[in-house]
Amino acid sequence: MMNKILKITTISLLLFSNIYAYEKGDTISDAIASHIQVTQDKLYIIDFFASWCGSCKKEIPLISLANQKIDTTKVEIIGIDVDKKVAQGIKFQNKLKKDNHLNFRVINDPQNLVIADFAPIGMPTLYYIKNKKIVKIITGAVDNIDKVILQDIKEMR
Amino acid sequence: MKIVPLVALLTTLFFSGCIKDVKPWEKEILAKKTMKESGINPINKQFEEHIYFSKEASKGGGGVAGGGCGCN
Amino acid sequence: MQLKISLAVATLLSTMALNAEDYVTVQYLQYNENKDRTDVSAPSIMINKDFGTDYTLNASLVVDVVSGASQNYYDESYDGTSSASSDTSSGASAFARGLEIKASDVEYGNTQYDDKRVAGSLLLTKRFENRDELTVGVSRSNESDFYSTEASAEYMHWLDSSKNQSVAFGVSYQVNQILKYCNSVGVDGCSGASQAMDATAFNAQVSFSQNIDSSSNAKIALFFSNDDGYLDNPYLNVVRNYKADSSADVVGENRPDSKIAYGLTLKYANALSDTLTLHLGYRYYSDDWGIDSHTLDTDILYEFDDDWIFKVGLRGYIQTEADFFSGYKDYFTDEVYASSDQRLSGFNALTYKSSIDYKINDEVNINFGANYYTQSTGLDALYFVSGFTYGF
Repeated sequence: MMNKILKITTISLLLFSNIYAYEKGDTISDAIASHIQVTQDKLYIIDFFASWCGSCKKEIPLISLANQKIDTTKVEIIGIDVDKKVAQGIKFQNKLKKDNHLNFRVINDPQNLVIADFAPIGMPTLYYIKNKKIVKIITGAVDNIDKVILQDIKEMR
Repeated sequence: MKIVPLVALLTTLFFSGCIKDVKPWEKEILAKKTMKESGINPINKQFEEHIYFSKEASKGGGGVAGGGCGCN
Repeated sequence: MQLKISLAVATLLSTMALNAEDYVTVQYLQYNENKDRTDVSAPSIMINKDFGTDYTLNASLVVDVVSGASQNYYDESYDGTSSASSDTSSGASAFARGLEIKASDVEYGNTQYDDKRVAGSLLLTKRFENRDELTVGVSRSNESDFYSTEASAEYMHWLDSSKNQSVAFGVSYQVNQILKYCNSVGVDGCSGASQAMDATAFNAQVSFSQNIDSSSNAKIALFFSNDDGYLDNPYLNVVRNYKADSSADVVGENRPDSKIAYGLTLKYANALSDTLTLHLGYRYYSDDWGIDSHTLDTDILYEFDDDWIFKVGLRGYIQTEADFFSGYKDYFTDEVYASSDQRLSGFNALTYKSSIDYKINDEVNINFGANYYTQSTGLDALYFVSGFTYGF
């Protein structure tokens, strides 16, 4: 509990050091990198979503489809659920898992600290992160996102 | 006719002072079905609009699509 | 035609596009007026389906079965030799017209009718890379005496990157054909045959929407319409040249062949709390027939237990009368335009609304609504809506 409070406080303080949205080429802060666990030498794909976001609901099954085909030692997909009511977010995630539509790790961000730091201009938004550097951003619903992700991974090798 | 530009101006002035830049992740409430302009069920809102159209002399203001009816 | 509450298939462009989701909804409307007037039963179905992230298709179909009576001037001595339907209780017919009939034979009362109307529409929305939307639609409506075809298009453009502001511009064009039955030979230039009359309607609307904060939004719209062609109701009569206890002419009404209208709407929605939402709406309307109206609409929605939504609402309406309207049978003599259609009179109206929506599970909702509409003209109506929605 104490660790959680410390983490939230640290991230909150560090937020003041970043008043702009992350753009391609930016490096994310160490605090955020540690919080969402993107510290290893692999490509991370961060998906910001919420239970109330219609486009997110449609995209998650396709992202999970892509996740089945990637080498998870080299690429990891992480979901960030920004539902303010954690129970609502978890219920949503569980339903997706039950339907085999969600197979990647999800971090709950009910205080919206992580998303406020990234500050995407729409939802859903995917951030590709390598060595804490943002290498690509995909904002909004995209057709065949599973194929787009797999193609991107191939090109980024 | 003068009422139209006056109401439009007042509305603009009113809302311009109160408007916040809502971030994409703050739109949960705005996305709720109870916030929909057409109501929870779009067909029912249109049933209502056509009842009014067939019993009153006014029309318009609810979008351009709707289809014709022999209601005049 | 005029006596019926024909209900067109409806899809609201703005709603369908911005809240795209897959569902089918089946609804049933039962509408009943007082004084044995109009009754309508209208089952309908609507399907909304996304194709990928960039396309949404909305299709709907409604069937109105209309029966009842409506008030009209008629010649009580009409011998019913035409093929028009007649009210066996009063002997009146919607076609009971005549020239220089006895003034004492001029009556105002119920005239019967029955009809069925089938209407369908399709709307297709395309979303662009910047998430602007273009929606195009077609609709078609068929009744025994009225045919309508409409095409519409609306473009919505986001004004800011956070998608809190948008502007939309829409137009529609409607081509209508009305069958004017002429059963009173020699009256109104009738030859005994029905005549197909044409009319068109052009509508345009521009609107601006704004999210005010995370729990409220507002919209302002300006609209314009231009109707041209045959705008009369072929079933409605007026009394001309009325001379008390002497003679009168009962002939078809005559409205101008053009109507230009414009107006403004304001809408506001505010989630007052987690469970309570308020909707406010105002419309101002004005046309060159002399009709001005104001409409104020309020709905309050209450969410209970995550599965129930209760709604109550009140709508107030007031309109002035058309320049060529008169409800008095001894009014029209030399006037070119003349109508006694109560719909064009000056009156006010209130609607008391209520509905319940229940979520059975994540896919299925059922709903029921009861509403009461009352006009200062003496018209009252109760209408009920029930149905279910399946999300997939």
